Amino acid sequence: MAHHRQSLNLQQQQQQQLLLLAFVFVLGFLTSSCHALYEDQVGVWDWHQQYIGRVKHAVFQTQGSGRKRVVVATEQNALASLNLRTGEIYWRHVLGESDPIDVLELASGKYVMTLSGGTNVRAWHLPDGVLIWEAAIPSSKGSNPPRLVALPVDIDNDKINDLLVLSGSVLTALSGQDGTTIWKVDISGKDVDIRDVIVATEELKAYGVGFIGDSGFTIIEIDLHAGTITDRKTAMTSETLSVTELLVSKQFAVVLDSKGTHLVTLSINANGLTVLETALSSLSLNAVGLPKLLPTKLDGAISLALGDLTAIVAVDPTSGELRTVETLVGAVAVSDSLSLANSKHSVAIIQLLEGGHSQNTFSLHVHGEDWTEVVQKETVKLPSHRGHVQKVFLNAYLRTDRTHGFRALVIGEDDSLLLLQQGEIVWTREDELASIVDAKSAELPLERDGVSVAEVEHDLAEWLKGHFLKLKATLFLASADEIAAVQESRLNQADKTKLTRDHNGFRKLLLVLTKSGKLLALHTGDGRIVWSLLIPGFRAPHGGPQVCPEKLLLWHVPHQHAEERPEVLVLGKSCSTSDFPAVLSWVDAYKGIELHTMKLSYPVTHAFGLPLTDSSEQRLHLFVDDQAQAHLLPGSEESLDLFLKQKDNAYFYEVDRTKGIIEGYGIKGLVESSRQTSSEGYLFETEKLWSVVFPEETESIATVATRRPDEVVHTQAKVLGNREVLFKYLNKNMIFVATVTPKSVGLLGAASPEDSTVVAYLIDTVTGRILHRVTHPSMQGPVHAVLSENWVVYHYFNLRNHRYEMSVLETYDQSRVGDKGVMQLMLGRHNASAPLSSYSSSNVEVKGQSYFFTYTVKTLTVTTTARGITSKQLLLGTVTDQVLALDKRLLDPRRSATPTPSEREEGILPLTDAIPISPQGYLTNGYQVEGLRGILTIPARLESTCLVFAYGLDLFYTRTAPSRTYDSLTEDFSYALLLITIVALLIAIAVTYVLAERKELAEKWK
Amino acid sequence: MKTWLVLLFFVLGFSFRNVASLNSDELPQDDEEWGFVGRETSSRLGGGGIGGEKTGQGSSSSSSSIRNVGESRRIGSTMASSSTTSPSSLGVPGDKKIQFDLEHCFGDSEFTPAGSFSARLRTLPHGRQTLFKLRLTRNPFSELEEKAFKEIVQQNGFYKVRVPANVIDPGKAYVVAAVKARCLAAANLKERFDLNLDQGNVVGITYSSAVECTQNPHPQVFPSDWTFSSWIVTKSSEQAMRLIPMLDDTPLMSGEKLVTGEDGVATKVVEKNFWQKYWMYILPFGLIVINAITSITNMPDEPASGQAGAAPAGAVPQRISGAGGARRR
Repeated sequence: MAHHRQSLNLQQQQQQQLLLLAFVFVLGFLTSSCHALYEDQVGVWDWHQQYIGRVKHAVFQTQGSGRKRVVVATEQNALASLNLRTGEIYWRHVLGESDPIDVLELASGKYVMTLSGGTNVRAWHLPDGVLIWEAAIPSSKGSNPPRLVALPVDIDNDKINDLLVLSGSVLTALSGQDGTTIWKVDISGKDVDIRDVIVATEELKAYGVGFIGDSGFTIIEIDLHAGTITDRKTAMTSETLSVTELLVSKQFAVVLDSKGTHLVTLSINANGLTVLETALSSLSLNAVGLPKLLPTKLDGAISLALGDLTAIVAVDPTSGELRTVETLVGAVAVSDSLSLANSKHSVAIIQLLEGGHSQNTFSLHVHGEDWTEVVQKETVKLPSHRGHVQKVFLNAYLRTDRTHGFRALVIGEDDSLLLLQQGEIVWTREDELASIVDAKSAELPLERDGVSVAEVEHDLAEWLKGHFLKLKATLFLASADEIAAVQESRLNQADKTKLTRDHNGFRKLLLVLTKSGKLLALHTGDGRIVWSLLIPGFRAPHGGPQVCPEKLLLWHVPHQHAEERPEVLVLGKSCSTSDFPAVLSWVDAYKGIELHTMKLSYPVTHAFGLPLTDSSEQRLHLFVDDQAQAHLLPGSEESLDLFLKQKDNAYFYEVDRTKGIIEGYGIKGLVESSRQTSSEGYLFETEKLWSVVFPEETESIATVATRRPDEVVHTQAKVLGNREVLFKYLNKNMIFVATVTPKSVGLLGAASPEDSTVVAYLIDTVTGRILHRVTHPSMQGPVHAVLSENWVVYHYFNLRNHRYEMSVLETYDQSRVGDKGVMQLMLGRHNASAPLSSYSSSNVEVKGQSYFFTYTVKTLTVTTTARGITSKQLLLGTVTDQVLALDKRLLDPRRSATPTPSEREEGILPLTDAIPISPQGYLTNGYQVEGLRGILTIPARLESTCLVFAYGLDLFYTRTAPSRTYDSLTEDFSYALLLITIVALLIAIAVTYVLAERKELAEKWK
Repeated sequence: MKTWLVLLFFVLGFSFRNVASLNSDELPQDDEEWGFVGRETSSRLGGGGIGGEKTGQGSSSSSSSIRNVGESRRIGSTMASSSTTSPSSLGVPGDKKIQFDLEHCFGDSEFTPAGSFSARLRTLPHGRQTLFKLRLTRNPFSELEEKAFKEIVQQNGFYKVRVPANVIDPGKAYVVAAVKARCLAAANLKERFDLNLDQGNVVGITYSSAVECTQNPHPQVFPSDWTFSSWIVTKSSEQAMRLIPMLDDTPLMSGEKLVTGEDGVATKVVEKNFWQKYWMYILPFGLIVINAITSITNMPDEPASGQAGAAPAGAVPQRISGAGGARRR
């Protein structure tokens, strides 16, 4: 009997143990915190977009049975193969910054040949973009654009057609097989300047066409097999020629004379050379300003730009006589001639339709062999934010009825790439996003009453179902389909892409300004374009001076009146000259409409927002012109009153990198006359108060780092392990400047370690006081730096140890050293609320330490959070185009080899000579942000989280939580599991209660 | 009282710094040669001079000596400009006397000479140059200047000074600094120059009144005494500590071993013992074993009670409870 009871108890014990185990198991699932990313989390809150940049060369590969594709080379030095049907990237290579692609050719149907800088010839395999060979041609004198001709013949008998490269004055024949030099010939002579090479296949001859001095043509005949010059012919002209542009075709060459009144034609035929000079006026072309030959390659014709006019002039190959065939007005793009199978040629002309301005409608004409014949005529309407067509590439295809149809690849004014076919836009690539100049973030509008969350998140049943599926997936019970459904729902969370503010502040608009003068708003949820605007105020008239967008300023950020719309101000400057008056444009950040634009009467050297806002929350801005005068905007009475109150405390500084000077200015009186022209801003006289002059021979400014103006610092004091307090020296006006030895600015090895130094400065910009100056001997730039709170971190190269180094400087206020304890911090004389003045004699203690670091850094920034409580992470753009997050604790100058127990308690790590890099520290995970240039950090409303947007050629967005998400549950937290557990526990309690009652009763009955 | 003490220490601290930065390795006869005996003490005390200012005496006499010196220096300056080197009279060969002007301006006016700095330049064996023993001879304000100064005090403007950026071979570049005229007036023209020097170059100057002036707006007062008392602090660059690669040569502790990672770097790893490695397997296994043992120890009892050895354990309690239930009923 006793034994039975025993075994019963044992069973109960077992069951309890099992229950306990299950509970622990469940708890484990609930609390599992993720330190890295799991496979199924990719794309949940991050996105990655790939771009190529503004296309400058394009070649089509549409013959044969393979996939139809177009190979393009861009101004951002990218080479890519795009799917002609969808515009997707098949493969892409980004060449270095100093490796621009000058010529792009297809050879033998399966190779892509590129010529970079006249010295590097590369052959790429067309289907997969593998580099087959690379050949370096020794660079030779001459600044003419290099030429590459893919020969239709094989001259070294290896059954692969070869190449000719004209670089400077040297003509080189390269083997198509492996890029080895077959022969090389210097074709220069006295005064001879060869510009182009044409090939006569049947005769196996190449002809170099160029100038003799500035009043004659020369033609050199080269034997293709031997590589020897077989003949030289010259023809003199009576006019002096404009030698900047020479158009060469098989039978003629055309050039303008130096006065720009005549076209000089050279006809090349069997009898020799004939020169014919034709006055532009006789072609009924009235020159407005200097005419310009366009480098478009037309068959039997040339194109000219005369101010607003574009003229196409046909050339008679035998006599050299000219005839105007077409004059076009306004924004016109002419394609190169396209040769068709039956030795016919076609040219596409794309032109803005008359009266099509408001609609942005274009006509696309494809002219046949004879210029009078139009083989295809279409009208295309482009979205207004694409602007005018800048360039067109023509491609032909066979229609179902065996006639030729044409499609055109066009580049918009905004640098986007579009494929047009049958009057429709087949696809668009937003390649303007590859050249972001400045980026800012803006809040989304508040949730409207009409749209409630429940509507978007379906009903409760569906919500539960979703969570049940998730639970199943968590417990490995789900089928493959169900797992896919879970993943799908994760990636397409409806609330991720809503256009309203969310509670955590993850949904925002990223406002990006591109080089082409386009402002776009991207949604942080999925990276889609919410609106885009080609800023009308920046659009130059056809051939007019170009305005380059420079800076994005937050003009109006409503906090109190959240229903109002935020406004941004875009500052534009002339692309070429610095004394060109600046252009301002105000844009509504919700709708993407230009509110108004203004052409200032003064150039702007720099612009910044003041920490003052008027009653309508418009931020006051100061624009400094080239005379170092300050202009206050907005030009309202209220802003003037506000500013006059603070005038005596307003200072600004200017950095002159060429002279190596930093100058500080104070604001003096208002120029009364500017009250009349207040729309351009109130003008204030300024006074130079201080200057810091870096010794010219030994130091040149490498980098200047400033604090983010909107940075939030949580506490001024740092409580140490031994309960003492260190006061951070938090000077808002402190900047970091690093200088390097001018000799060592260039490449590595330009200077010896002995005379290469990096000097770091901390400067107060109100008084010009140098707070700290530290030299790092044997170091070399480039220096990258980031300044935040009371610390600065900078990165440079150590020439002695041949490694990169990172240094940290932290500033502490020693004048408050008396208030040691925490109590005194709160109640003492110099408590935390005492103001800090740049004029008070500061006693700053600077602690510094250096560490080795493995990588080259492209850009350096720091995370920001809403209230500055969360610890910070440094974000580094590495040379591999990834974003690496480093804990700031690794760069703490108080690290020592053997930290005391109290220091350990504080979280100080033991000192190491190098900063360790953890593979989990890469925020970009497996992606690369090709051509990484900048990282923007945006605080979310949730204190623990910081939003990170990295841009270069590609875009990448993610969130990071430097101290983990301590203030919210993770996304994959299973509410259903929690609910089920609670319910199960409640039931278990109830059941056990009843059972216990019963048992107790039974016991009592015994 | 305590705060005053702290302040005094603070000021003393500054004066010590001052002395330290002035390279106090000078020979006493140098001072005679430079005619700076009185000045020397006053300028040195200038650091402590704030303290002196508090006692209210001594400062006026010392500043008057500055003025005297200033006048005598101006005569000397013409001599010095004709020949700046006089190595014979100096202790260390290669030392060079140099002097450069301090210029000032009131608000928008042009810069005019306000005094001159004299210093010694030493060329070190490896070609580096250092400036030391910096002295300032201040010209007293002329009547016009006094008027101009009063004007900018009234306007709450800036009083600006400048020195050439390259003091050995002055070029066009000047280093400018400014102070609120009211601060300087309130401090009775007790000024302080912090010069950041780099070899023969002045990188930056901080010009301030020797008495802290943080009130805003500053009250308008005129100096009671129109003589300058200057306090000069020179700062040169700090040299960063050279980072030496740390070689991890501490001996291996017991239980540690070297493991070469993927990157080829050997790292110390504390080897886990058997229990640390496999506890997660041992523990459940142990539980199962214990369970099994207890059930086995229970089993031999069963045949002893006359039951079939293979009788299911579950049947027993059933029967018992059934019997019990019947009995209860």
